Amino acid sequence: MTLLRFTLNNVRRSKKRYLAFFLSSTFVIAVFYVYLLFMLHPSDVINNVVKIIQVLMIAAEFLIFMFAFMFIWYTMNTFIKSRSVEFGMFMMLGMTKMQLNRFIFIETMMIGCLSIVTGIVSGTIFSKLFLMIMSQILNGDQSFSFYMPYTSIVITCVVFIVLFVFISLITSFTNRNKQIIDLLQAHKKPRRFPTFSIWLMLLSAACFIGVYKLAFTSNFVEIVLYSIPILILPMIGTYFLYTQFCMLTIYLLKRRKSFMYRKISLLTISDLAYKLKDNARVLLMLTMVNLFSLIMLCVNFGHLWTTENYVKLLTPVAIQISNEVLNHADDLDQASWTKVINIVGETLKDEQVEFIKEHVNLLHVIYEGYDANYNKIVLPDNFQTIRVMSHSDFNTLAEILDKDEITMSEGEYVQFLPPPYTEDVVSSKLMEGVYFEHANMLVGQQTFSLTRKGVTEDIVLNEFPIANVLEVIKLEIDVFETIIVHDDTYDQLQQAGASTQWVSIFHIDNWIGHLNTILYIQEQFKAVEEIEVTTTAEEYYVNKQLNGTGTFITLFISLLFFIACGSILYFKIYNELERDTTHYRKLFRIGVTLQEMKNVFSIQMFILCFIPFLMATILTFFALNLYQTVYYDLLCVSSVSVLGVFFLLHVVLYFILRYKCFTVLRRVI
Amino acid sequence: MLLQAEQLTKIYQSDKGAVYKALDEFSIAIEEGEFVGIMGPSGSGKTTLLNILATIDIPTSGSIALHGQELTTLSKRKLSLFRRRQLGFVFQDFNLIETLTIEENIALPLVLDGIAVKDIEDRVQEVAVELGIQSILKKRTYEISGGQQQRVSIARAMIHEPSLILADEPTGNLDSKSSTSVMHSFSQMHEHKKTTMLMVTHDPFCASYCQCIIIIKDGKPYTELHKGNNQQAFFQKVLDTMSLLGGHMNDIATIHT
Repeated sequence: MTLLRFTLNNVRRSKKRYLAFFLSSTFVIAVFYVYLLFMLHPSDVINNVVKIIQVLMIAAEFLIFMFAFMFIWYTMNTFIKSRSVEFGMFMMLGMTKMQLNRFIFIETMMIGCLSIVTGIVSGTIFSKLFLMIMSQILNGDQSFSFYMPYTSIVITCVVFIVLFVFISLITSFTNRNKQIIDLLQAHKKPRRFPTFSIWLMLLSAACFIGVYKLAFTSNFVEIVLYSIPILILPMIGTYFLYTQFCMLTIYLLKRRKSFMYRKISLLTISDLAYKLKDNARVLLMLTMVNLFSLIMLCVNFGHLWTTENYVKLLTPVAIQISNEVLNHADDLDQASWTKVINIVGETLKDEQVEFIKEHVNLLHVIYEGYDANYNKIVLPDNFQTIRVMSHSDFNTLAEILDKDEITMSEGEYVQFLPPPYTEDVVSSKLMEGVYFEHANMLVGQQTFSLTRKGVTEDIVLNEFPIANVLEVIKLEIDVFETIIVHDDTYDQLQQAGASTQWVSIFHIDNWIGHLNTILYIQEQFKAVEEIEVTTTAEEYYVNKQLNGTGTFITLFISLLFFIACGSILYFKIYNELERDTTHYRKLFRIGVTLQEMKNVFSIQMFILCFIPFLMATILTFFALNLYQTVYYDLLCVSSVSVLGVFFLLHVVLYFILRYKCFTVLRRVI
Repeated sequence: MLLQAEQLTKIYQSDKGAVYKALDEFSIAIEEGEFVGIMGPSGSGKTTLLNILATIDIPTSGSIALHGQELTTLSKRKLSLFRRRQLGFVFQDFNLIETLTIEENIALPLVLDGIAVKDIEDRVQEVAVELGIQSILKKRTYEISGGQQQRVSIARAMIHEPSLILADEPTGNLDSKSSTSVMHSFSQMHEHKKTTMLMVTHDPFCASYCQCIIIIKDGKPYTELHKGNNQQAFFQKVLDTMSLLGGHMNDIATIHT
């Protein structure tokens, strides 16, 4: 019988023992796979979702991977540990270290490969269901069809095979110095009281300071660049926070006799030290899950709830029609332009929609931006041209849209500031290179130097439609930022020969009541290349869909992971209780009452359940703070309600754990 | 009369209906300040008796009264409180709580009863000095020897000055040198504090420290031995009785010389 044969038989004949490890691996692989499948889904809507929040999605997949890694490593570790005696026996019978390592390796790979297969199969079946629900939620959109995702399968297989190889190598490595006697007596060893180390505490603090430095003093590009350390550092910090700072607290408490010698504190605190130490990794996982879910859900809910206000601020014009000035200026004559405008007007009248019509001319000018010290700011290729609007035109539109008018003098310009930015963001590190202090307008041979007077939050054109973001990121279309200049400057630029763009706006106060009419009008002109139509309605629709999808995905993943972590904690606590029954029996003999033991457990379970929640909440608030400066300031309501829901989940977990403790206790007496 | 147990009977019934009488109408009375030993061959019912007196097992019939208070009818909670305040325990396997330090282990009964911190610390010091364990107070249970662990559990059993201390084979897990020192601690406590003690053992040498030994067989009292002035003579008497009892020499754990 070869070693391989022996290993195979060993697994085959004691399936039950391997079941927990196998099932938990299958579970995380399935989750990873479903998420990947969704990320790479070929449908349009999903593509939009993915491209726009690509960074976040990839970060989330990375988090899932980290979670999978820790989860599998953890279950593997407990599994191997629980079999110390078996391994000790093998070695006593003459199995060499090398053979034992090979034995563990073959075993792990066998279970690993099997769980990859079942994970992918169950993931595929599940994703079918998942995508069906998705398409139901998203207005019966049929584009979420089921597909055979070869890329996802290959990626999942490769990633997890590497992971299993890696984990079995680590396991062999960490076991290399164990003596046979240690293996045989693994369960009888006295438990050392958990201690702490100053160095690890400093490391933990350094991690938090580091991530704070990275996240709060970088500009947007740097944040994306450093996203991996920004994700990993808090994890390391949190782990050592649990293993070190908690022990320090307990150590300090234990020194205070006036606290320790007060009834059940003595029992609660001493046991808690062990419980925290033993469960630090589960607590870390729970924290990560909480953190991920809280951030993603807060952001998604925040967007979902504020979509209407948000699109109204960023794309305030119900229907804006402009011609494609640079490429096709000659293609569209005055007559056909007028015809288009009339069709829109007629359609609106037919549908009895009240509207105000206005027309403005914008100039397109090539420009150069400079910062305060006249250093040239390098702009991406598709940002080379700027749109210029006269300040009287701005005031006309501002009046229609119920916004503030501005005054300015020659040689100055004003830039739009999308909400919720305040003026300080303009000069902040975060926006470095986005807002310039001086600009040179280059028309023909002439150069007009302008200085920024300030920024205005009153956006009067559909400047930032998210529906186009995909093309912008891929550098496929040009982006025209608009600046406002004094009428005289405007005239000078026009006389110098700057090209003109026609823009007609239809202001509809109650656009949300006429979504379908507006979308119908927009659809009509989709095929006409010479004109571009942007509407608040489309923005609203796209945003809703994006955030709805995002919310659903995160909700789904969060719940799965919460259940996963909760059940690990449950099983761990249960095993510990079973292991410690003699300990409790001793206490009962001495005369500790049932009620006292119950109180001890209630306090301990409360701390175990709510430490991860508290930690995740604190980290979430830091993260959202960062996000607020990147996006906008409307997350409060959503974060509070999401926190509320998660709080309830933890309360449920707490009561389940407590109930389990009580039943074991009752049995022990 | 401190402890009065009347007609204690304990019947175990297996699933298949086989009935086994561990205690058969056993009565015992202990005066205040007595040091009583209970001996008997394996399966004679000594441990059952002790468990019942310790209120962690319930007799099938019979009554136990301590200071005249009936114990068999108390609620679980009251029993816990009763054990905590009135009884002290010394077990064969020490039963120290691993998660606590030695000091905390000793203090536990007082802590649970909500005694003031200052008093607790004073009491711990006092008991530790008496038992010569003050140098190991800060240590943890796995850092000290078996003899020390047993002396710690004696300290824990004494600290709240209980009415009765119950000891279950206190030297069963110890070598002869440690046994001597532990038994020495017991008799010292008994002499200084006049504590009432009941000890189950099958080591005749340990038993010879008691004032009086009740020998039990098949759940019934077999005979009673009283110590005179000479411990050596008493030890011999115990040995003789035990061999008379059926010659189960393997029941006589260690012969000390």
